[in-house]
Amino acid sequence: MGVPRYLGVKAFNLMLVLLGVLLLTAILFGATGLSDKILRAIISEEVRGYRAQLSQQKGLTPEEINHLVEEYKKNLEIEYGLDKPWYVRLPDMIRRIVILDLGTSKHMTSFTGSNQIRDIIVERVPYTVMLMTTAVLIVFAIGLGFGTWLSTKVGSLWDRGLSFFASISYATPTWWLALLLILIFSYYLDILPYGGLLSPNPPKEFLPRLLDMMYHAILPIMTLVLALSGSAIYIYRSILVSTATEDFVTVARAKGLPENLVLRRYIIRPSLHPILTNLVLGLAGSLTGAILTETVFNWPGMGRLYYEAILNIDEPLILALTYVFTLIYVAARFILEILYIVVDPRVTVE
Amino acid sequence: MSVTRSGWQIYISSLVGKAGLILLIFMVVASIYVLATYPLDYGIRVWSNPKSWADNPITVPPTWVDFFTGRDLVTHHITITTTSKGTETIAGLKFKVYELDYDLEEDGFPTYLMIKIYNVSMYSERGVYFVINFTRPDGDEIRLITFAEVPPPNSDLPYIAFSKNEKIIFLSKERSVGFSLLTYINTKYNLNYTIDKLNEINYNKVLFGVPTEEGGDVIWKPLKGVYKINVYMLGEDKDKIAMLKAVFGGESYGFLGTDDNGRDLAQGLLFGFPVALAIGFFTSIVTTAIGASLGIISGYKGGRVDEIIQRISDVVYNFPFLPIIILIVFIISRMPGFPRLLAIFGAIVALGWPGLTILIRSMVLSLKQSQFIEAAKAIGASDRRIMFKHIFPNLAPFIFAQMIFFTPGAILAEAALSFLGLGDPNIPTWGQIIEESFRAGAALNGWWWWVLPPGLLIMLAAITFVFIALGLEPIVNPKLQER
Repeated sequence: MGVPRYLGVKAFNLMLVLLGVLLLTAILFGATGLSDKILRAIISEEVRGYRAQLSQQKGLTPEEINHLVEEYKKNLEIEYGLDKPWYVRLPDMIRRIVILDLGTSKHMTSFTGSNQIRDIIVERVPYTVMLMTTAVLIVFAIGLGFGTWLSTKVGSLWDRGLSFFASISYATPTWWLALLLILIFSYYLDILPYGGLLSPNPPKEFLPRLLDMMYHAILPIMTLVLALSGSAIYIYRSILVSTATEDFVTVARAKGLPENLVLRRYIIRPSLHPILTNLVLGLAGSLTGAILTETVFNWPGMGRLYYEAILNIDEPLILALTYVFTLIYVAARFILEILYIVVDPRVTVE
Repeated sequence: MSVTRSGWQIYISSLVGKAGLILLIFMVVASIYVLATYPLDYGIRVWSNPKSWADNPITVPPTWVDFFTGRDLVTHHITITTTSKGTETIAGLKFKVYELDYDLEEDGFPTYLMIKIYNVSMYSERGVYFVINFTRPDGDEIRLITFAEVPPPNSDLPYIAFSKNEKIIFLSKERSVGFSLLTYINTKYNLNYTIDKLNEINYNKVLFGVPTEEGGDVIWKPLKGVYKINVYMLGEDKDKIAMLKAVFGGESYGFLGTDDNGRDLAQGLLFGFPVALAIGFFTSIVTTAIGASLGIISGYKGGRVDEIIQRISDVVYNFPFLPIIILIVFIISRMPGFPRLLAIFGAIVALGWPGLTILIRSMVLSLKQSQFIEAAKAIGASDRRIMFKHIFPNLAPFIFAQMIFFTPGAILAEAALSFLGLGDPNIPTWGQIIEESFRAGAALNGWWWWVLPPGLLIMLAAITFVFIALGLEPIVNPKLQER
């Protein structure tokens, strides 16, 4: 199986996931009548524009305007398929979600003032990605570092302590941990900001502004790292331990190779495949964490937007966000597949 | 691979297994206590009903913080009387007297003073006249407020006033009390305050304190001792007050403090036990049942059925969990009248089953090859019989362990969804309580008693099942047992 074919199969499977999500959302929205509601909102927006346009033209009586508007509205309803049941409109609904053509948000606007859903979401993506990747990379470094160290001490007190810590870390709700950190670092110690992206009067120059943003990112990233690192260390340790018991490691040691070399070349290198898997699973975990963490810290990413959309009962926005989150998730999975080929040549040879 | 007596011995010999079991017993006992003592509609009838909490202080810490603050915080106190102490004649008029006592023992001020009057029966259309006096430990008596209550014209006598809604007088906020206090401190301490200045200090400090001078500033210090509120009522002889209540606002309340509605957090958090257990149990049972049955069918039947089930479970398994579950719960809860907790339950089940299906299928595939299945087939057992009488019992311990393992996830998921505002505001789950604390900015205001306990309880519930699952692992995973 060649590389393109391998990637093709993986891409197809991931597309199925994306399609599954889209189908599920479209059916949920269609069957509950929410898609009608969204389309009506789009239509009434356009009708209002049309009416405003007509009323500026001279020589039209109010009756004529009303008549024209009614006509226009009927045409739009046919065009958008509101005269047909929702399951007939399914493909069109999916198309709309894919290109984020979901009209306008009721309450939210983008930072530039647009209330088009596409604009609102697109400008928030970088903030979420920034938070997530930073946290995941730190967790990866901590997990691999401590995991490697502990894999040489199987059964020690440290090792047993870790499995306890991992259980605690798993049982701790991320969002509650965030509140706890706010209580400690913002309220009692008063050394870190409790939320937001920038200070109330942010510096204008690029570098100080970036530093200000990083200062505000400390607590959210700390939350994600604390929440995710327990299980990460545990998993990396287990992966490395199971490789360390392989025969070829024993042989390498018997040959008298330096322990450092054994660790790098005979233990870590063959373990890269499952390690990568967990790196990306960590990314998925942080996606969940990001929604909750951003909510608590008022970090203006997609997660916080999700929360605000729920509070404001903004259906199209929630629909769009679910799609974008899935898209990011699927994209991350695909990058993983490419990395698999890089670290593990066996993947493409069968 | 069935759970035998030795299985139980293995389980109970592990430390985490024991810890998990003890925690579970604790949770079950707490739940039984709640089910036995709380009304079933506790959420709507008590928790979300402002009337149940009207007498409580707002956002105060638990009483036991005294241990750490170094000063005893003023405890919340309510004095009730239903009987008159007797009559007293003032300026030739006969008043009925009701007395409410309060003993200030701590070195602090009650945060507020409120008096409530219930069901006053009047036997004359002239109504009644009230005088409320306040007696301090130093013997001073202050007339706080006077007012009259008259039955509406042409009403039947006796007329019962304040029957639908009790009369509430916020003595520590009431403006006319302020003017009485101005006169009092002027004559007693020769202090010339304006009403604005008095509002700044707060009436409760003047009511329950004495001024001392420190570096040119007047500092109010609490005055310990017995205070009396005397309610004098002028009316017919038969006229009476059914009940009088005085609330002396505490600086602390109960075992876990109160929230911004004055709700007793200990009560709400206790109610969370059966809710958390129920959500954990039901979601994991249903999810495991669906996941395991589909896995067995998929693995045993093979062919097209297998293909379809595997495709679907693979797709659902790869859904990003939280975004999708938010969407599902959000949409379902848009349907009016649909119970929110049921929506959360359904969504967790809908997304939770595929992992187990994939696992069980692979186990069934290898089990299918074993001789006893072949034997069963040979004597003509039906597919259903083989699946449920031969395959299922072999996997049961493993499935049971998976069910336990799924439970903390379900509890955490419910808490997260409630925290995001998708829960039922009428049912105090732990996640719901933290959501309210978050919206009220509890962490920013340092109201730790509203933030820490519910989170710790969620952790406790989750860790209980993590421990049990860890204790079960050596039993269902024989490879671990050998080591």
